[in-house]
Amino acid sequence: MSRRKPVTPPSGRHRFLLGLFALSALLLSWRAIDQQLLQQETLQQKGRNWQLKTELQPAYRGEITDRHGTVLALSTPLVTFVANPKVLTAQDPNLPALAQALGLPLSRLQAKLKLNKNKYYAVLKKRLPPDQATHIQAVLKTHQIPGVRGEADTLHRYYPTSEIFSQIVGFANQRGQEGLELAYDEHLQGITGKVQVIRNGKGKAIQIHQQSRLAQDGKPLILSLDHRLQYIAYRELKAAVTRHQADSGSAVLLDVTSGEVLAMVNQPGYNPNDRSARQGPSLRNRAITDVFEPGSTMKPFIVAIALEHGQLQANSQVDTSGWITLGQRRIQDHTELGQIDLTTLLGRSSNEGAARIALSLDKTTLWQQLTQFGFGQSLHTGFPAEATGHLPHDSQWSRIDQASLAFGYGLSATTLQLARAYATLGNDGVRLPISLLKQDRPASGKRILSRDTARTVRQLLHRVASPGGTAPQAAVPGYPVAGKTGTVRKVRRGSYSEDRYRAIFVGLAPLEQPRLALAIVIDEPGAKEYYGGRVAGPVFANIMREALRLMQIPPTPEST
Amino acid sequence: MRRLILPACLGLAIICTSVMLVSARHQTRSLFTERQQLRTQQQQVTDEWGRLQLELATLSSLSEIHRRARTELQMQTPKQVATLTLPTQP
Repeated sequence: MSRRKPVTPPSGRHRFLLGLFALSALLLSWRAIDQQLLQQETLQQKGRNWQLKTELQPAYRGEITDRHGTVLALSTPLVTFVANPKVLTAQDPNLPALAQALGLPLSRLQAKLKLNKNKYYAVLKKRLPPDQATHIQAVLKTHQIPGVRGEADTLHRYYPTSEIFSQIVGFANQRGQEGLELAYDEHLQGITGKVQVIRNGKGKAIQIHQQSRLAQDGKPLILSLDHRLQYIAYRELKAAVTRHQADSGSAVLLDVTSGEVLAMVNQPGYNPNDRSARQGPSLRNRAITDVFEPGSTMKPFIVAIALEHGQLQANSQVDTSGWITLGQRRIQDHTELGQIDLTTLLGRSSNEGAARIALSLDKTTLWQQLTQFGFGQSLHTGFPAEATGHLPHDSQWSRIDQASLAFGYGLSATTLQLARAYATLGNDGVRLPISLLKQDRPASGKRILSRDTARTVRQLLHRVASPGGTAPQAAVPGYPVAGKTGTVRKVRRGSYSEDRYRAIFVGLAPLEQPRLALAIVIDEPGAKEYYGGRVAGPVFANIMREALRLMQIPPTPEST
Repeated sequence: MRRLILPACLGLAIICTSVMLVSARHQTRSLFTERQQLRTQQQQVTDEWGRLQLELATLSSLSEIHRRARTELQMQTPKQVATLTLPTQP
């Protein structure tokens, strides 16, 4: 048994060691306090940052189709091709074929693979269009090239019908920029989803932490237009504008019984797929945004109003011998027609006759009725920059203003408004709302003219497109049509030009029970011809003939 | 002895629930992975559909059909006498 040694006071070395231990303990506890309490927030945040990842789930923009489901605008991702350089090496024998498919020089491709040879991921080519991607996929398959795959990249908007629907559909980048893409942007856009996921050590998502926003694809938009009719209208209008060296032109085809727009084309057009073409005046949907004086195409409305209010009967005669003098101006026809009936008045387009009728009407009645036909009124199509045209109030009319209205000067309208006014005549006097979208239910209209008056006016308009009328070129074999020409002097520097015209033809078919209304406007034909009947008439006949056939409307028996 | 029954039961229950928790976790994760795969698949199918629609639109372009009908097949619109137009069946 040894006796305990007496406690000796610690030597200097002991003390030093003890001190060191104490210091270490102190440091450790400080570190613990620092990590656990003071830096807790930051460190937890760091951990979450690594573990949690916010992913965006893209929403597809809704597609735009015609009334039969033909795609007019579609979003689909571009494809980025990537390789795994561990599998596909720079010495692979298939590289030349791959390089050719990708459109890369072989040396570039080899360099890319060499540079990333220790990685698992190398981008070969970014954002290729889907058709090119399909071609590359096919090459990969035939040559059995390993380690290359296509990944969906950003969404791209395509317009497969190119120029044909250009102004009406418009275009979109991230958001709608023009046309219906702009008008219905909210509807088409969709909502990008946002979700927080928990990742494992390898960075792979293993669990949803929080879904803060559900992805929602944009809704599709179905137009009232028919792509076959649109194509025909496009083809014929383009041919006419080229043939007559015209500045521009537009055409609108309406379904008389539903108020739906079946075709709407303008020249010049552009290819919406080509970003550099997306500028200038060809973007304008002239049929809706541009106004002009409708000229003689107004005459049927003046006659209709006079018939409706008992100023005229179907068999009335109008004296057009001599002239009308109003202040400084004299209204007179090129060829004096003498005592004429209403068929001749419209068929030969007598300015003097129409002016006499307009002057015999009450100003307010005339203004009200023209407004009812939609002149100077918005069509509420929702199309960007839709023009309302202008019809001065009757309190501002002088006698000469009232007379000029009869042959379509002193007011302005768009091609669509003009087509709609004729469609009202075609629909037995019931005015329907205009729609650019397909309607499931029949639209409810408003009667603005009696059925008899509308029918009488249509019968009177039959002569125009027959031999002896102003537009025999507008006749459609097998189908009698009702229509009216207009040849309007354009306004240049505040006065009417002597050599710049606008050729117009508006009509309805078939005559007895119209189904279609078609308005053609050709602006400044530069070649020799400029008359509405000769320039716009044949365009009307060509489009109408094909449209009647495609809509399977049987020919009228007597005329075949 | 009797005093031990309750803690033993509770202990057993704790073990059971822990095992169930682990298995539920595992199930969640495997279902999630499956969901992710399906989502990717859905996306691929959607993209393929879009691509096919574009291809269809290109192939059925009316101007192209018009051109080929006229030039390659020498087709033409029949004269009026040869046209039989039937009304649309309701």
